[in-house]
Amino acid sequence: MSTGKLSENIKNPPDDQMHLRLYILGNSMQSTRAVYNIKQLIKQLKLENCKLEIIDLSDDPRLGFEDHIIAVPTLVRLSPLPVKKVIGDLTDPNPVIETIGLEQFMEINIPPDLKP
Amino acid sequence: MTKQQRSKVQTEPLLVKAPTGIMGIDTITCGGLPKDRVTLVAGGPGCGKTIFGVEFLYRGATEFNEPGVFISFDESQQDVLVNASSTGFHLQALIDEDQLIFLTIPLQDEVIAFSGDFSLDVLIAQIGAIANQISAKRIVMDSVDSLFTRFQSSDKFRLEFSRLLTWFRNNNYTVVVTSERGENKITRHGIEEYVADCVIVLDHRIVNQLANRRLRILKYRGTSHSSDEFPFLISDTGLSVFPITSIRLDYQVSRKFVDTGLPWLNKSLNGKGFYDGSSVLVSGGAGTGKSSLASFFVAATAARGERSLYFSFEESGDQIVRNMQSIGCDLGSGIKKGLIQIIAERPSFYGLEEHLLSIFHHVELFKPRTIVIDPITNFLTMGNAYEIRSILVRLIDHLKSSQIACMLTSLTSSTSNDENSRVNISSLMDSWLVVRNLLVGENYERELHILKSRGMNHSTRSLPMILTSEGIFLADRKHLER
Repeated sequence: MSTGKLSENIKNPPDDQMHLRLYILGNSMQSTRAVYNIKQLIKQLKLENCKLEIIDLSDDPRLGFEDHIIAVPTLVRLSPLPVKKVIGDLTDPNPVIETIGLEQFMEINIPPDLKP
Repeated sequence: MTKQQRSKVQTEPLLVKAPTGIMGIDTITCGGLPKDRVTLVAGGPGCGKTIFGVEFLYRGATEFNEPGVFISFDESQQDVLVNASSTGFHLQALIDEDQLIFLTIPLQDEVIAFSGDFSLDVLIAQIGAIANQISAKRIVMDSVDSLFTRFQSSDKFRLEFSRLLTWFRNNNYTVVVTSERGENKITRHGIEEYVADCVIVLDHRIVNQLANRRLRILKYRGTSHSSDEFPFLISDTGLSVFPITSIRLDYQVSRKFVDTGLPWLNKSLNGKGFYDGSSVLVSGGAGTGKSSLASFFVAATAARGERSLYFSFEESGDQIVRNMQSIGCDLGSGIKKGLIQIIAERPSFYGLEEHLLSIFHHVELFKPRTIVIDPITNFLTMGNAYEIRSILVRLIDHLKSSQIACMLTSLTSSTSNDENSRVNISSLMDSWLVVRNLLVGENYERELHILKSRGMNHSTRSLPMILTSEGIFLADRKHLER
């Protein structure tokens, strides 16, 4: 996990890249699950060109103001626009796939249990 | 006292209150909002919820040394600041002085989905972090409906919201949460379930095409409170709530007197004048000298170094000062010293009730010892006599309990019987003076008659008076007595 400061080059990735940011708070069960779930999803769907940032707000929760984060965990799709969010530990992959629009980044072989 | 009784007395917690400084609120709540607890303020759009929250924080910082955090879920900081300015609260200065922090949490434009478990701990942490920045003690959340809507009012969210409120209590913040009214419930999302300590409801209705604002304490745990609705105004000094519902006849009666401004009149009233805190009605036709009598009363108050408020509904302040100068009554110097204030407004610009409430408001602000309302009959052009009477009753009652002597003038038409003053409030008044123009030979003479003056042995004979450039005199003794 990297606690990142929001630097310029992360904010504006190239257009064909999916830029995701997962906000968590500390080492709670929810945080751990969310990290695991999103990483699993990315792996299982064999997503290419996907940049995942993980930001732990426990050092300074005010870092969440920029993306208007009031609940954790929150997964934010920063790119491509428009911005979309999924709140929760991401246990159910379907809302994630639908909202974040992962279909376009998926390989042909979608595991059957992950079909929306 | 038995041992059991003694220990019971020791363990009952004291309900501490946080004064708001909002006019009337601390009176009707007997001290303010519950300290370190959450108060819900519910009302429809435009009811004044946001202004309530703003004023709560503004006065908290400027009068009670308690900085605050304003969390806005709907409006931008800019919009709130602009609206607050129009009600007299300049928030930017507070922000610059670290007495107020604004937190805007826009919720509308996002696409949000939910998957799995979440918590509002980060919001809690954020509020805690910014509150610590300025050692805030007060927090306002305005309004929480969009938060509930955004989170689909789910059970999980409700649980988290409840945790948020508990966190406020455990960290000793006095909090105001605002919300829209619901149809079957107090609030649309049933927020009242979570706010156990105090619920205030604001209402804004149109009755007979006139706006009426009402405030009610729906619930205040641990305090006996009135369940009445109180009318209130929003002006350029914020909210003003008027605790004027029930009328009790238990005010203290003064044994002191106030100068009428005219020695011969003082003499005719038991020798000394009107009773302090009493109400006087002066009725008469046009041009009979009612306003002149009122002006001498006001000038006499200022001469004692006390404040007097003159509400004029016919003439402008300048006109009055000039006219009174011509009969030897000096209002100008009192005005210069800030002891006299003339408020001249045509009642037709306001709703009847709002106008009378504005009298209360000015009285609260200026804190006069005497007031004049000249004339009250103007109110007849708007409402009906019954409505006027009921509000005037409350006004007079309020003035009595504040020990403020008032003189009301009433214009009667020359064809009607003077004793039946059109707005029939004479029975409420302590003293009633009638002035008439009588044709005596070829001249008109003014005559004053004291119809009644409670509790004193007053003259009952007619008192002919003349208005000269040196004052008002009794006509038949003008060479000997003033």
